[in-house]
Amino acid sequence: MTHAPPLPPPTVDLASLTAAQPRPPWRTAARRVVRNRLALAGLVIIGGLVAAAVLAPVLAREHPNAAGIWAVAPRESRAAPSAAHPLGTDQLGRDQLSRMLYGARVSLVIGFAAVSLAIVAGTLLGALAGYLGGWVDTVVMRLMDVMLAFPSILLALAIVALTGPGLMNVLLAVGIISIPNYARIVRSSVLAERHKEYVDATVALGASRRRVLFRHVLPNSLSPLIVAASLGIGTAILDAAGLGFLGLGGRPPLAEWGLMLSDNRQKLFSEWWLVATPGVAIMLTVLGFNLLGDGLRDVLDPRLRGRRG
Amino acid sequence: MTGFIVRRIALTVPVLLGITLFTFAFLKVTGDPCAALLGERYTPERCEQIRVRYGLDQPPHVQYGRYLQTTLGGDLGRSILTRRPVTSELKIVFPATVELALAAMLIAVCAGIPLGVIAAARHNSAVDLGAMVVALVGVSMPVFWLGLMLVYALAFKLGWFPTSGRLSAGVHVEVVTGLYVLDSVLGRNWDGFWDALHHLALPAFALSTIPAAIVARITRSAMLDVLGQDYIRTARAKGLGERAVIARHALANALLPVVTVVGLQTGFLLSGAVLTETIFAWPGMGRWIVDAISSNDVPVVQGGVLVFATVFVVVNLVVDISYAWLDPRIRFT
Repeated sequence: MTHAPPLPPPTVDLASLTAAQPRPPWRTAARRVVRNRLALAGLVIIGGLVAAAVLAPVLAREHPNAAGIWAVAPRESRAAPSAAHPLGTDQLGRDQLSRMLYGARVSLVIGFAAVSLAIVAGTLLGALAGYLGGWVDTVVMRLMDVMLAFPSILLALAIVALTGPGLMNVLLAVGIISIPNYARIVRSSVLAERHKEYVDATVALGASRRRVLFRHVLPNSLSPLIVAASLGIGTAILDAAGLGFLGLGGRPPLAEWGLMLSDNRQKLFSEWWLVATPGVAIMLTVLGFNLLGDGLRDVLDPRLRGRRG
Repeated sequence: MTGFIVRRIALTVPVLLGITLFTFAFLKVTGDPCAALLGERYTPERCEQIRVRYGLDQPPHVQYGRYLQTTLGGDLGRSILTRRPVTSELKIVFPATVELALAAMLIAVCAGIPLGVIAAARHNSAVDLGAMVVALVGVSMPVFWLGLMLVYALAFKLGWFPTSGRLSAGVHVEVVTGLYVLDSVLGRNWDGFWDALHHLALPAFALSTIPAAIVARITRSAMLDVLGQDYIRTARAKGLGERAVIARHALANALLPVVTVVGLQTGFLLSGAVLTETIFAWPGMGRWIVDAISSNDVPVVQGGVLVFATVFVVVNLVVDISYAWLDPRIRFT
């Protein structure tokens, strides 16, 4: 054995001690998301869409239903794209670009609201099933199985058939069909955590069931939930647009992408861009959330870390 | 293995019962059938007669029992609109959807698996990134939009394919299975075969994009898992070429998760069929149900949803069993 060189005398630097605080985990995650090129692309797309939706009244040349007296220029229906109307006008002479911008509001609100609803309901059901176990677990999870047994659009169709068409009902339907997803995620992580020693320790310290569940067990299912939510918003927007396309969502003249697509469907062979553009918007939005969701999964799931370049 | 199959089948029974409970409740919630059945001849006395005749005066659990009995007996009621039994309408629309879904699945598997394998074999290369971006775009594409774009470009502009329907006017196919492509081959009717195939191509392709993308992603990640294992290193170490390693050693094991995904995608195919059939005027179950919803034809909606969901459950059952058969680790846990 060789002698190690003598260690330098220990110096205590107070500044470095305080600076050595561990970085909060969300900042580490945020940093990794930004470094993941695909996730960043997703974030940029979503950011652009949110900006378009929020700033729609500023960006859009016209009110989405402007025709006749509100028109900026004399109306020409089904005009080809031009400087005045970059995406042309539809059969009622409404500016397509303005309607697309307002459409972003509808899609994003439906996506976020439907997924929020599904997460709240799914988390409650999953947590109850996983934590209480027994017959509660059996009943809840069988119910979820039955819901999963219906192809998603079909179940949404059935719900809309019951409640009647309308934007709010589409939102509810799309939210309800994704509840089982979140319930399963939460239940499995509750089951995984429930018998760990730290939970026993918390219980021994006298914590109530509710406190154990909400403060200790549930936060552990947060990262799979975030990933599922990001992917889920994309799916919800896609499903809602499909229902809108089938004429079960909002009524005309609402500027909703799915509805705009079906409204202009008869013009496919003459003014194809009126059909093409809302579809591109839907695709970009869904792509944004899928990219972000994929990226978040890479970042938040340690097992996958380093698999992608 | 038998034990596993029996247990797995037993698990689907409550799910199937749950489905019938849902469709039963569906009828209850949609309101009193008196008005729909009587129309202008509505009087409270006639309504009461109908309620007694159809057993609507009984308590709900008795009604559910009767519903279950008639449904299991193969009676799904009559369409309010056409007055024909729901089952005889099903015989026409069901094969059309099956043909569309099978063709789409075939395209998805044939495109998705090679794409995933190539992406995994060239992990982290431009090819890999490109394939995965294509797959992501595929997952994000609204199928109804893609369908319309295909109709515009390939059917309308180029005239390569018909825009809608299953057969051209004047072309006749002897119906055996209801799958026209298959039926025309069975009847050696090559004109019919060509025509049916032409009609099938666009809707099947449109419907296949999302499953193809998902199959490609799963194949890629399963291949990456397998390629990292020791026996692959052994195979490489003994001097096998990369092609043999991938084709003979890696692929067989990587295909296991792909089987599950292909099965699970059936549900998606059925959902997607609703939209695809609307675009291409394909006379299948999806369009049939959507039309029934807009005309408030409750027995058709009810029967259609029941059949759709049952098919989905049965396919999942078959997938689970075949998975256990392929992978002994499943059946012994």
